[in-house]
Amino acid sequence: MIFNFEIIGVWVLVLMTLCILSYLYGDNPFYKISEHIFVGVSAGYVFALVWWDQIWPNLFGRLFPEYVGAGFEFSPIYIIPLILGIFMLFRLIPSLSWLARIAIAYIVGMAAGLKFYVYINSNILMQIQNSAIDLSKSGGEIFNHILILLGVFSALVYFFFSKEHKGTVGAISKIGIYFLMIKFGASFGFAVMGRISLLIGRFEDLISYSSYQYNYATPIILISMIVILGIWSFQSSETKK
Amino acid sequence: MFIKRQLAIIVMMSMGFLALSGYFLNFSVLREFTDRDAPQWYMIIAGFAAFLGCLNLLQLHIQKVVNKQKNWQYSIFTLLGFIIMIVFAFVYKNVDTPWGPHLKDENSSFYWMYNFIYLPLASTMFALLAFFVASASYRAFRIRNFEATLLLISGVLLMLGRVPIGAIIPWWVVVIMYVSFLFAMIASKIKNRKVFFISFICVNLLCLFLGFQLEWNTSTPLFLLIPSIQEWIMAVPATAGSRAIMIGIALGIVAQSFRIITGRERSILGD
Amino acid sequence: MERFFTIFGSIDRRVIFLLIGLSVLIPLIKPDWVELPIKIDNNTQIVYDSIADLNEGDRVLLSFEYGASTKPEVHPMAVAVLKHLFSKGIKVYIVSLWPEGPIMAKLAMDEIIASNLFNIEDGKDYVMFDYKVGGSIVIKNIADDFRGIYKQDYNKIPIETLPIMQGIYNVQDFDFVFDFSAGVPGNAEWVQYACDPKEVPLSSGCTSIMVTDAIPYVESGQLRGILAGMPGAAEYEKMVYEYLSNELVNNNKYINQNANIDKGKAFARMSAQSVAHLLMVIFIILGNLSYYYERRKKG
Repeated sequence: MIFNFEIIGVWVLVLMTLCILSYLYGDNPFYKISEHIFVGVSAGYVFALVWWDQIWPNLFGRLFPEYVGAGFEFSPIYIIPLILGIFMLFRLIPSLSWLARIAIAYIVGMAAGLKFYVYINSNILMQIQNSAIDLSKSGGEIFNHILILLGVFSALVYFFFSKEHKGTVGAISKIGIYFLMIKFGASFGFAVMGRISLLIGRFEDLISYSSYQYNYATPIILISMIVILGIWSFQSSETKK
Repeated sequence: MFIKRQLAIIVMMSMGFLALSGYFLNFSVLREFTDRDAPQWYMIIAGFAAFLGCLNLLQLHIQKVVNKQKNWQYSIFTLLGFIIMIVFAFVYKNVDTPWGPHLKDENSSFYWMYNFIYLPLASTMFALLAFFVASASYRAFRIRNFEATLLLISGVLLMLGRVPIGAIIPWWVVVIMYVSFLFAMIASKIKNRKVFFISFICVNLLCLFLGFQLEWNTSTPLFLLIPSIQEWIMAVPATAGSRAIMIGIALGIVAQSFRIITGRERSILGD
Repeated sequence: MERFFTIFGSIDRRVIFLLIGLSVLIPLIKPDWVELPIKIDNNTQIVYDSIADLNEGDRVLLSFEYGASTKPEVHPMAVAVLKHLFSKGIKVYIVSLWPEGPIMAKLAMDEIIASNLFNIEDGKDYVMFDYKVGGSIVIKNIADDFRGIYKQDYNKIPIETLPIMQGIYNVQDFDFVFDFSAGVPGNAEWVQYACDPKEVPLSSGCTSIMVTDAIPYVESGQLRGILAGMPGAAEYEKMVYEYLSNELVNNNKYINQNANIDKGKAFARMSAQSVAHLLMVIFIILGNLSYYYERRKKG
């Protein structure tokens, strides 16, 4: 029997994995507990990381450069983001929550200003430009280009709601739906692919932790969980009766 | 009151203009602010927003425990998880690495929590969906009309074509698939079922005979290879659909940004 | 026949769960039962060629935007791309825009170092930076003023003292950007905020789910190819494996001659992936047959 922090960790890891997977049987306390732990731990994780990687060096590193030693020079103007940041936290106090609006306004306004340009550039103009038909290419490619142009145009007509989808507009938007359906089918195929890949990753871990080296963590925890779940579901059906 | 109502809108509009001006105006003092400080401030405020999220969550669960709401016992686990992470991040680190980099030190307690609790929970949570996607596609992926058929065919071809198994599907299976699709489309036109089935089998046999004659066994044309069909679907019709969605969303975002910059959109601030 | 399909239509979903579980589990435990050849997708080939065209001493910025939840899909790509870059003597700069990015980057680098394939040195051949909050704004900042946000590397060493950082001021000082993404911020933000306006070549490896949304960028050349999910990773691993084996024989000066080249993680997982996909397709077909019979019964 080997015993150290890594082995304990592996046992915890297997337990957590199987707790989540137990949801396949139905909603149960194992799943609920692990789900709640997940929420707490991830909040703590993000909190710590934002503090040590961002706020501490980039904000306090500029307000107290010698103490923090993040390589920045003293810039007192950074008191403004500090104040705005604290305003943000006032959201939790109802009587002062209006102060948070100023901080939110900064974020929203700036994001809007930046998005305005980049979306026009990358997602509208460049996409239209690249939907053009290149007549210098081979026949097959020209056919594909025409198909793409047709698809983009007809699907955009489908998104155009200012005119009723009847007659010619209706026919074109119908073709647009076909292109969108193919896109959604492809998205679905990729979604399946992604989920299966993640499952493979989890199963690989479970398989590697079922060896002697880890004191047979997976089989032992799996069997005990099945037994407990069996007893639990038997008991809850008894109380229902 | 002016400060309570208008100040936020003024900040929002001026930040919008400033950020946008960075792309059009070359005025050094302004550029200095828009390229350096303004994004820094944004990141710092965004950091505080992340804190706000965490504190809000904490508040919610504390309330749940204090008021003994339904399933309050589980909230204790959330609080415990959060507190342990905070202790290992700010109070006890178990290694000599300085505060900050200790988060990524494999021997620190914080990393232990990440590696053995956070990592399996996060990844299993996502992996769990594999099962539900499977059961959903079994139940809901039905040929109801032509649109649903397109959805299904594109999904199935992608699932097969993107993994190694797609490459070993022989050409004649694909030929039968094409013929089946054709007949599924004209099925409603032919009323007599006997005629339908006989013609279906005849066309299949004819196509297969043609295939053997043209030696598709040795040199299969691209349109009979599942991976190539999948590549074409992705490159042409799926690109067209995605691009239309991309342009549509972008137009929406641009319009929304314009409303924000000009101060017309106020709901975003909670008005 | 008809009865079989009607019964099949009302099957308990837990049976489906079990079958999906087994279809993944069995090929993983017994990999030699199903062995399938890997075919290279066109988009993977474009990514490979773009990196293969880089020269010795070029600088490549890698951005890590994924975490534990999507590690099985994206991590093998990161390792394979790093191997490819180091084998060509390319300088690597790693930034992270997701909270877990730095840990993923470190895990990938640890794997590279443990493989003992390359003689690389921290701060000279590669450098890693901490996580920054702000998403697209961080990307904009990297595009305009890299040193404004990054003063130290992840070891807290000032970047002025790092030889690798000489001449790096904004995104245009990099010859190529490669983004590993699993959501937002991800490859779309890199296209919009840095690589389109500054005209720096960009390529991406991402989770399967993101692919159809990113494909317009790929077809328009805003992204140089894309590695799509685990199959994309497996294809890239295969190409890099063949390349490294070849270079080892050719005495590539960046590769240690006595090192072992392994095939990579995603490679071995492809049979499980294939079997699960096949099962899903069978489910869809059976589901439709039972739907057909059900409808016929109702008239």
